[in-house]
Amino acid sequence: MKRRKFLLSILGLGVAAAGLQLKVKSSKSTKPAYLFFVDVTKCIGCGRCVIACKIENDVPLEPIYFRTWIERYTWLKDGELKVDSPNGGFGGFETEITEILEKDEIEKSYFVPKLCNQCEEPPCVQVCPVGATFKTEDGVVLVDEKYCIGCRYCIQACPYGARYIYPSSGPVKSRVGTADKCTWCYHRIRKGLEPACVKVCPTGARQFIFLDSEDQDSAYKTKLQKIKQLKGLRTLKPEMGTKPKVLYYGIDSDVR
Amino acid sequence: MRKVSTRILILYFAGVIIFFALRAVLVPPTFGEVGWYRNASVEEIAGLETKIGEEYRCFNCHGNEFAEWSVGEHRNISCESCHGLLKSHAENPEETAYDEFLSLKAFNSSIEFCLSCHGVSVSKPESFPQVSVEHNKYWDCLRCHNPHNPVGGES
Ligand code: HEC
Ligand code: HEC
Ligand code: HEC
Ligand code: HEC
Repeated sequence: MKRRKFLLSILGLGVAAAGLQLKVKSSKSTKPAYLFFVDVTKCIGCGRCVIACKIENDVPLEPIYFRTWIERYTWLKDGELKVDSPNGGFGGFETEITEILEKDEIEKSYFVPKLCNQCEEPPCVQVCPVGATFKTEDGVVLVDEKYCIGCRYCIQACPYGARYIYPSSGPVKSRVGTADKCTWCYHRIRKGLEPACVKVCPTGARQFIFLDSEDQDSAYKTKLQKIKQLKGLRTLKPEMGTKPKVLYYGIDSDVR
Repeated sequence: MRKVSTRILILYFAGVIIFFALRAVLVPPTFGEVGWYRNASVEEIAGLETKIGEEYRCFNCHGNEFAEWSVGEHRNISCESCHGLLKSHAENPEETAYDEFLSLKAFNSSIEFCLSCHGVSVSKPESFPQVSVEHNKYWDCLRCHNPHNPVGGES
């Protein structure tokens, strides 16, 4: 009798253990399949990318919601740094910087397009309590709008300010109240198309590279080769250890 | 003595069953298949509709503009950049081709339209062709420049 009871409890324990195990192959190493390159020395701040992004991705038009935006960095002769981004650069910068600051005070000024860095080590994914934001096997960080509870931890965790909570004024009702962010136009790149912002960029300041380019144009290989030869490639806030996948060319170290 | 332990055992199994039942309800399908997330959402996002009418489609119906554009100074700018995403138009030409945000219609005049890229700014790279108001204050830029081939083209 005792023996049977013992065997039964062992069986019970075994079943419970199998149930607890959620079949998570945790922190599976992924191989990034895409790379984003921003050449700041080409950006004219026309803001077409911000518009195209909002339309392509149903981002609300109010000036506080952006998946991508442009910042204007201006250094004064005395070393002071000013950063502004009226309406995120939507449709360009109507007010010239010389109308805001004295022209002969300005040392230099340029535009810096910003978007999600699709970090290799995304802090936003680490803090999500429910597993609604995650990194795909091809290396893009996405948000599951059906599962997100809108707790805003990820918004706090992102060092780049790339996330916002989708407001009820937005066109996609199922997304209301959930975290939203740039996906590098995941619905386009998976079809072999470039992200919307890259598509409309008139100067080639934004470039997108398919790293798995076997079935893609070999033009991407040449592009990658060219980018790799550039001196002074940077990522934003490298000290955070997030390993961003957006490479910037032509920015100073105080661009953050 | 014997009775008590049977009860515990029953309670125990009931607990296990409730756990499974709750788990089946609370954990969505495909969760945890690949990682700590709902695997189906990857394809849901990848399957979203795009809104851009890709260039080859414009070419099908607007051969003249395409031919001018492909040899002009604006050849690296996609049609969408100046005309809007226009997927609905490319699929059905009855639909308007005048995008409210990206086309000429989004601006008060062709002057504003062209200057949205070519206006002078200290923040722009010096190598980018910029024109100040002196270049042309009153006339429609399109009077002298063909938007598809601004230097060589007939306007
Ligand atoms: C299926 C054929 C077709 C495709 C594809 C197409 N268009 Fe059109 N488009 C037309 C027709 C037909 C008109 C109306 C022409 C007219 O009224 O003179 C038109 C009108 C236009 C006009 C306005 C011209 C005017 O003066 O009224 C623009 C601008 C335009 N198209 C741009 C585009 C762009 C950019 C694309 C690619 C995204 C595109 N079209 C794709 C057939 C097409
Ligand atoms: C630099 C911006 C720019 C680009 C790039 C551009 N267009 Fe245009 N396009 C214009 C402007 C501005 C007009 C309006 C011309 C007018 O009203 O006379 C126009 C007019 C047109 C028209 C109407 C022509 C007419 O006679 O009414 C068509 C069709 C058109 N574009 C197609 C295209 C296609 C196709 C492409 C891509 C191959 C393209 N455009 C690229 C700026 C552009
Ligand atoms: C979306 C941005 C954009 C718009 C709008 C635009 N252009 Fe351009 N334009 C460019 C770019 C980019 C170049 C190529 C510059 C280069 O070669 O470095 C260019 C080149 C030119 C050039 C040749 C300059 C040179 O020295 O090579 C002329 C002329 C020109 N554009 C006129 C116009 C006119 C006129 C309009 C309005 C119909 C217009 N552009 C609208 C982006 C734009
Ligand atoms: C009276 C005719 C005329 C009008 C109107 C006109 N342009 Fe020009 N533009 C020219 C000529 C001529 C040139 C020099 C030859 C060339 O590059 O085509 C030129 C050159 C340019 C260049 C090249 C400048 C450079 O530094 O390389 C740009 C950009 C340009 N124009 C933009 C515009 C814009 C934007 C408008 C409207 C605000 C406009 N143009 C209106 C005649 C005109």
